[in-house]
Amino acid sequence: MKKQSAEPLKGRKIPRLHLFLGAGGVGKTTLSAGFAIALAQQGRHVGLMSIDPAKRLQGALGLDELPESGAQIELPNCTGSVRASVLHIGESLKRWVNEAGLSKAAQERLYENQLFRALAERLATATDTFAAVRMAEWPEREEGLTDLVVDTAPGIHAIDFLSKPEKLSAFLDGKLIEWLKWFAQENNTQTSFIQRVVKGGARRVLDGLSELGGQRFMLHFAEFLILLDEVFARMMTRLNFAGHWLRSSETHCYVVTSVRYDAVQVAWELGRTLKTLKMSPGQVIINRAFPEALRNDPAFADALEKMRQQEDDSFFANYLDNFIVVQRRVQEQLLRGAQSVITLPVAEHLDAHSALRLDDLASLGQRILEHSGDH
Amino acid sequence: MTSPANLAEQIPQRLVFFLGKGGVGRTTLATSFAQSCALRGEKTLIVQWALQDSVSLLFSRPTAGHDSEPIANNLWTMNFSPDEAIREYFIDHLKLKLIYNLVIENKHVQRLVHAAPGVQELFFLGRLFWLVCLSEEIRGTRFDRVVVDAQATGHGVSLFTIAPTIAQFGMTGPLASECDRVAKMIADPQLVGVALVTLPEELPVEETLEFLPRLTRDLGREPNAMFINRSIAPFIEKNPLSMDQRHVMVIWQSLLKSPEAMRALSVLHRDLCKRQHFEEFLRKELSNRRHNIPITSVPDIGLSDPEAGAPAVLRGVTDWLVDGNDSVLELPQQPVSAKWHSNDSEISEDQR
Repeated sequence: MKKQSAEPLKGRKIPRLHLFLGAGGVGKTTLSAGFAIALAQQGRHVGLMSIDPAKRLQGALGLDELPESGAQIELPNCTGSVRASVLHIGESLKRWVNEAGLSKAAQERLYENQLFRALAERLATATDTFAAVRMAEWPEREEGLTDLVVDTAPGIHAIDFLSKPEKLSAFLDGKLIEWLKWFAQENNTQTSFIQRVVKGGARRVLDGLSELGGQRFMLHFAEFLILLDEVFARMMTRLNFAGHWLRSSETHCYVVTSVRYDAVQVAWELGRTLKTLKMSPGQVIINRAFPEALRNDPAFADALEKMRQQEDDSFFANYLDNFIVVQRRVQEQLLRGAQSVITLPVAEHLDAHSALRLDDLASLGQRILEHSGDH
Repeated sequence: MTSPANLAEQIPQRLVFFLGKGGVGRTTLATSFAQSCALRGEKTLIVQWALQDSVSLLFSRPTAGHDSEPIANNLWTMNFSPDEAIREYFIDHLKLKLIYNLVIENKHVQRLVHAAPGVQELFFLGRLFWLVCLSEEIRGTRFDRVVVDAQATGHGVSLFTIAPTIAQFGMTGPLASECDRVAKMIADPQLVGVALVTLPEELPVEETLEFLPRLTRDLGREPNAMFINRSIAPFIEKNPLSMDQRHVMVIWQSLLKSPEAMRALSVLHRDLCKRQHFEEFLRKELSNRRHNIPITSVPDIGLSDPEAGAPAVLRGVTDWLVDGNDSVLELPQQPVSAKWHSNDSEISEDQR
C-alpha cells in the first residue's frame, strides 16, 4: 500500500471535537444539534455529524433530508455557520472511490465486485467501522472549520466507534492484504516467480484460506483490496488522525442520560470506558429533568399528596412523584462518580409533537455551553 | 385493546429473535418471553450477544459466558463470544484443528476476522443453527426454545441478509455450505419467529415504521409480534380523566401557588400525554399501512414502583404477559417521594 506522508490538515489548526454519547432515546441528536447552533452563534464554523436524526429535527434545521456530504443550515443573524450531515457509509465509500482517482474501468470493476457492493449497500455494521474515517475527513473538506460536533451511535456501542480506528487500521495496514495481492497477481500472470519470493508461512495461510472459502472467493477478495488500495491508503491516514483527535486534550465528551435507571447505567459504563481509552471523562448531562420551578412551589408536596388520594387523577400525581424519586437516585449515582453534572429540565417545545424551532434548539445548546466551559 | 393476547400462539417458532434498538427494553421483553415459555414447561435458552451478560443478573446469578448456564427452572442463558464460536466451528465441527492453528489463529487473519463486517455475524448465525438443528444429535441436548437478544446487531436486519450477501461472494468449500444452511434456517417460517420491541416515543416510532418494510422484505414475511414497552395505555384505561389537560390543570391551579410551577406542570403533563399520542399514532399507522402484526402494550412497571430494580420490572412484565395480571397496574396510595426524603441514607446504602 502506498504510504501517504502528508498530514491531512497540512499544518492548519486542528478544529475542536465535541462528542455526544449516551443510551438510546436520551436526546443526544437534539442536544448535539442545539450545541452546534449555539457554537455558531458565537461566531464559530461548525460541522454537525448526526446518526439517525428524527424527521422533526431535520425539519427544525430547515432540511427535508440531510445529505451525506453535508448541507449548510440557514441561521438568521448569525456570524458563524453550521454544516450538517448524516452518516451514510455506503454513499461515503462511493464518494471516496471517486475522489481516489480510479480509472473509469477500475471504478466499474469495483462497483461490480460483490464484496464492495455488500460493503457499500448491505452490511449495516460497517457504519460503526467507518464512522471515525468520516469524522476525520471532515476538516479536510472544510477549510474554515473550527468545531466538529459528533452525535454517536446509541449505547455502549459508541465504544466501537471510538475503539475501532485501531482495529480497522490494524487490518488495513496488515500483512494479509499484501499476501492477498501476491495471490491475485500470481493467478493473473501465472508466473511462479512471486511464489518463490513469498515466504512459506504466508503461502500456507493463503492455501488454508482458499481451502475454507474457495479460490474464486480469494480472487474476488484480492481484487477488492487492490482496487481499493488508494482509498484504503487515505482511510489509514484519516484513521491515524482520528485516533489523535479523539485523544486530544481539546476534545470534549458529553455523556447524556435521561431520568431512567438504564440510561444512567449506560452513562456510567461510557464514563468508565472513556477512562480506559485514556480520553477525558467529560461532562454528564441529565436531559429532560424534573423542572425546579414546580418542586420549589411551597404548596407542591401537599398538592401531590392530595392528588394522590383522588382515584381519577392519581395517575398523573403518581407520575410526578415517581419522576422525583427516580431523578434523586439518578443524581446521587452520578455525583458519586464525582463527575460534573449539567441538568436540563423538560422543555416546552423541544419534545412536543408540534414543530421544533431553531431558537429552542439554540437556547438548549446555550445552556450546555454556559455550564461546560467548553469554549 | 391493551391487554396481552396469547403469546404462545403468536410466536410458536423454536428460534425467536427479539429486535429493537438500544434502550427500548429489548432484553427485558426477550427475557420475559423466555420466562413465559419456561413457565409453560419448555426448555428455554436465552442467547445474548453483548459486551456483558445482563440476563443472569436479573436472576441473581453469576455472569454467564459462551456456554449455557441454568438461571431458573427450565431456563438457561449464554453470551455469545465470536472467538469461541469460530474456534468451536473449526475444531469441533469441521475437525480442522491444523487449519485453525495455522490460518485462523494467524495474527493477520485475526485482524481480518475482527475488522471485517459480517464475519462475526455469520458465526453467530452458525451457532444458532447448531443450537436449534444440531445439538440434539451431537450432544443429546435439545432446547424447545431459543430466544435471541442480540445487542450487537441493533435492529438486527443485517443479521437476516448476511448469509445471502456472503453467498454472492462466490465462495466454495465449508464456509459456503455454512452460509447456505444458515440462510435456509432464517428463511424457514416454521422455525424462525421475530418480535419487535419499540417505545411510544417519537424516534422509536419513526424508526419502527421505517424499519418494518425493510424487515418484512429481508425476512420474506412480517414479524410475529410487536411490543410497545413503557406504555401508559393500560394505566389510563381505568382513569382517562387523568390525561385530560383541562381537567388536570383546573384542579392543580387551585392547589399550587406560583405561575411558574403551573407552567412547569403543564409541560410535564403534555410530555406524558405524548406517550399516549405516539402509541395511538403507531397503532393507527400500522393499520393504515395494512400491517397485520399483533401489538401488545407493556405497562411501564416503574410507574407503580419507582424503586423497582430490573428484576422487579421483569417480574411485573412477565406477570402481565403471562396472564394479564392487573395487580402490576396498582399505584401506591401515598407519595413515595415524601417517604423517600426522610430515609435518604438508608436508600443510598442499599444502592451500592
